[in-house]
Amino acid sequence: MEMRMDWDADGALRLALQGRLDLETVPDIRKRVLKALKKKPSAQVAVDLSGIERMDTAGVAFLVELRNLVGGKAGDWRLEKASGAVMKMLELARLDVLADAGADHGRD
Amino acid sequence: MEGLLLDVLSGLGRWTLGHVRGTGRAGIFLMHGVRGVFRKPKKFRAILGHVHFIGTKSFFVIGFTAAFTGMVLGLQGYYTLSKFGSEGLLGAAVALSLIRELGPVLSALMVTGRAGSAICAEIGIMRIEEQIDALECMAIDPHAYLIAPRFVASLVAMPLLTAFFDVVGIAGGYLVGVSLLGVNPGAYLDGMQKSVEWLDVYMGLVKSFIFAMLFIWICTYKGYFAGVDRGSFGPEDVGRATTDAVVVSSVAILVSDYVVTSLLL
Amino acid sequence: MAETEAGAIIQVKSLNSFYGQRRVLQDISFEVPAGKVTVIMGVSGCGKSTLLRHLIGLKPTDPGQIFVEGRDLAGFDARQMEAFRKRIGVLFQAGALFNSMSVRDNIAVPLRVHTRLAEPTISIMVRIKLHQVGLTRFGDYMPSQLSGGMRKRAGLARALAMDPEMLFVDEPSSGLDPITAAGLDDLILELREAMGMTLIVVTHELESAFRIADQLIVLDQGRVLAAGMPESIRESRDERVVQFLTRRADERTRDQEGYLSDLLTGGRKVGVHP
Repeated sequence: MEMRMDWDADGALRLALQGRLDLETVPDIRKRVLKALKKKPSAQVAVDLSGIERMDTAGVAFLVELRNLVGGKAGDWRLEKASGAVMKMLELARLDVLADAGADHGRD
Repeated sequence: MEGLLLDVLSGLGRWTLGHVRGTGRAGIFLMHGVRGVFRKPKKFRAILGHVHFIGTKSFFVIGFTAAFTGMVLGLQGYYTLSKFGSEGLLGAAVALSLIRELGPVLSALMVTGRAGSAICAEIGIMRIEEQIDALECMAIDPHAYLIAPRFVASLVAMPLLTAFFDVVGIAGGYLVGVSLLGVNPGAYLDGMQKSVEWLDVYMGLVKSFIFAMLFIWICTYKGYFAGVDRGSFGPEDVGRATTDAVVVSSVAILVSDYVVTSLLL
Repeated sequence: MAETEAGAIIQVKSLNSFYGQRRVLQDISFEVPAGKVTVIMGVSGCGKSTLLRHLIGLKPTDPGQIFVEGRDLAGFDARQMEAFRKRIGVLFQAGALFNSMSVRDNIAVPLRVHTRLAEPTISIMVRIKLHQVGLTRFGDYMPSQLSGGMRKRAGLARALAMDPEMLFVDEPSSGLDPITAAGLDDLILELREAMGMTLIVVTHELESAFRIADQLIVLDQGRVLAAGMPESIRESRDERVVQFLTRRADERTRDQEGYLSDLLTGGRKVGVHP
């Protein structure tokens, strides 16, 4: 599992995930993101899901939790470039309306 | 006539086989349970919960039993000792009988009646409702998850309850002997102090550990295999298992008490 | 290991099973295709529950009779069995919820034991699962406070907690009213669709079986009476299959037979789990 964290000029966290986001990998990723946010608090987060090969409910739960970690307003938390399989998992959790498939643009 | 003989013989054989098989299965169950202590999942919280259930919740009944046992020992001991004019030894008599014998045995019997039956029924219900199967299907070892924490909790709670029993019992003896029958308080306490040795306390402690293991082993085992032999899984199987568990535990405690005493003397 | 034959995730080869001296399964053979719904159907006492217990490793199987992805289930050591069971979910007939803990804790059990997930993540996962089975507001309830149908749905949520590849369901509709039962069937189908699970369902309900099955296996007195697509079973000319499918019509006569023999033999029953 690869992860890249960048901060925009205005302090928004951009998270690019690659590989598996599941039961096995979520604990470590969560720890790293928590640590980074502690060092450099951010009120906004955008997650690039294009590199994810496999995601399960633990992954979905982590994405949801992320919203809580940055403050928790709808506009401050974006899921981008969800692939078909990822979208399916989000759909199953009834969260598909929150994510953008394919093109990279904001939800609102 | 021949048919009757055959019936008797095959019946006897079945009975023997059944018991041999049952004993072997119980032994394996014990082994799995003990091994489960050292396996995941983590069980500290579960152990605490069971210590509360076996130990804390037995406090009242143990204290009550202990007080009256001590008091009756005071009465009887005074009656017997006064025949030899040695009422001063009452403290020693009460303390020794409690610490060596009655404390461990009665505590174990009371805990079996109060907690053992409940534990057996709880696990038995888990068996008949397929909850134990569900655990196995979740790749959770039921021995490690259900049985092992109860083993540990019993080993923690029983010696403490026994110690509590001894103290309350001795106080009960004091109450009757000294306050009611007028034995010299100094003699009661001094006699006790002089006669009780470490070996006596050690014996009581060893017994309480052994009884703790016996009762929890038998009660969890009976619940775990409730209805399995008959291949039926109904509420009456839990009832039967619970009765069995209490009877067998009690007998096992009394028999092993004799064996341990004879070995340690 | 890859699947051995075209998409079969489980293979059963002449499985025999006994309870003591009594043979309950005889020469059962079939394959479970990956990603499909296989329904094992039959009247009570036909051995279907026993078959399910074999498949999930609760009842020991002789070597060479059940294969999971080509590997002999009987040859699994403890570690392999654990790995297998982490990949499956099982919904038991009555839900088999642990009655000493809340619904929420029930669902969290496998996650807490098997993963290093943090408690906040687990609690979100549990809520997602509760939502999926339509029990959003019942997380704090104890199992004893739920109705039979809700208990089953909670059991389903727990079976799905680890996102299993294979889901085994024992009698999804037994003890439920027809509407609740149909709802549960739909839910199972929807979840399978979304998660691509392989489903093995044991049932005696014809209606439910035909509604959800991709493949049907009809058991009768411990043998496979018929196996195939639902359509082919429905169109079968085999007398006993037809009799099974239309059993409601001649239940009276069948039952009178049984009743009569009960009267004569004293109706001795032999215990079978459950």
